[in-house]
Amino acid sequence: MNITQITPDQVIYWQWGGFAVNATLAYTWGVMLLLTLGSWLITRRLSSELRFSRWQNLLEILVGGIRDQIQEVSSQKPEAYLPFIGTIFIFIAMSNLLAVVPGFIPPTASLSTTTALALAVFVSVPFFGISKQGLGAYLKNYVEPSVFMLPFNVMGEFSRTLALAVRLFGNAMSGVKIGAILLALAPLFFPVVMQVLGLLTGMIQAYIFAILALVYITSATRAHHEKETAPLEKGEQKNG
Amino acid sequence: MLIDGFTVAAQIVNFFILVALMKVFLYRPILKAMADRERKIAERSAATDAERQKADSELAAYRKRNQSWDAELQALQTQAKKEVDGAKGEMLKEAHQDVALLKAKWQSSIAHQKVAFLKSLKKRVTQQVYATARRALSDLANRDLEMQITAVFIEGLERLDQKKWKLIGDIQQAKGNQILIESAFALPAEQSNKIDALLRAHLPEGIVVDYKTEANLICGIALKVPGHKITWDLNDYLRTLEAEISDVLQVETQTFEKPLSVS
Repeated sequence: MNITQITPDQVIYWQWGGFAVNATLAYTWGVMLLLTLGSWLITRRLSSELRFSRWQNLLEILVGGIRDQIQEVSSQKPEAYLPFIGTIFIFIAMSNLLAVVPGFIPPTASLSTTTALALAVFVSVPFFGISKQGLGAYLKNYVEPSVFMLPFNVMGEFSRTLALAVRLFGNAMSGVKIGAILLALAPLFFPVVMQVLGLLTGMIQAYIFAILALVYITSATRAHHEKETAPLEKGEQKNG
Repeated sequence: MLIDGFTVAAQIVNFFILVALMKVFLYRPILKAMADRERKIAERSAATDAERQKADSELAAYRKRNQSWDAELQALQTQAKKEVDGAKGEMLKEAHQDVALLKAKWQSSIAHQKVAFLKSLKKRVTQQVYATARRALSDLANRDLEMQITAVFIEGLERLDQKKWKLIGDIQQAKGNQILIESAFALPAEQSNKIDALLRAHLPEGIVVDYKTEANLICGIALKVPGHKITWDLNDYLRTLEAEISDVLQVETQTFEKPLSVS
């Protein structure tokens, strides 16, 4: 097993200077094209009536489910987080589902992709936190409950980003690789079972990644949210 | 190296491009369609609720109106029944009165007809009995019977007391000496002579006895002086018979008239 079999980043299709179009980028574009084209084809003739197409129904269930999940976890209005969290889930889920297609290398099996997604989450946490609470309030969270916790909070930010990236990479990569190894050892039955298991773990990983990203973002915005709602709750109790 | 810096950077860019594309092509239209549908459903639901409320209120109004109509109908029916019963009673009363009147008229008419019939019957029966008896006696009046009648008449004269003879004599003297003997048949000479002798024996002298045949006397013979008459005649019997029949029929007529009298 060489390095090209561990990460698709090393499978170079085209290179010009420092720019190399590897398998990770190529399959990522493929997934992007598939998602965008599929969405465009379905949503170009949307119906707001009571009768609508099955594809629209599928997308409405998917988007509605993600929206409800965000609302349930964050207890906030889901519209602001839906594009980011929803895209993480759909992209990872689609990449992992397509792993059953022979010859398809899921981009999530690349540590570069998972790192990129984790970095996106790493960036989006302060982005949503600052946009919700403001810069000062957000930075104040790092010295809570005391200033001595600052190093630990910063380390926590980095470590959880690393954990996100490595968790997804390990699961996606291992599923593919274990399938390949079992195919060599027992080519008839076990690979199919592993593929089915891979589909399940792929969906679970997509869900876990999206939920963890949401939890991190929500934890950065919740302090502000709690400050907003606390007086209301007191007022409600007085009224009640 | 498992992590390629260029790939990481490119994937970050790719991811945010995908976020933008998904936002444009997936989330925004799908959420808009869902929101529009929810809004339409809410509008329809609101419209349906409004229609239902309107329908409920109209239903309540109709029910109330129906109840009002039912009550009105009930009252009208009761009133109509009462009026019909009253009119029926009145009409029945009038009909009974009419029937009673007609019955009374009819019974009165029947009674009158019966009385008239009985009167007519009485008259006819009397006349018929009288005529029949008269005819029968006329038919039976032969010579022997006439002689027998005359003999009975003579016996009657002979049984007259002196007072009556005196009365006859007084009348005869006062009114002239004319004595008329009327009979339904011509008297035989023997009997006329016997009568003459009897009269002359009891009456003063100078009397004139005339004999006359009178058909109205049935088998009878009569002695007439002005103002008085001594007679033996079947007419007397027949008149008595007629009177008795008439009395009997009168009683029958009264018997019929009494129950038919209108109260």
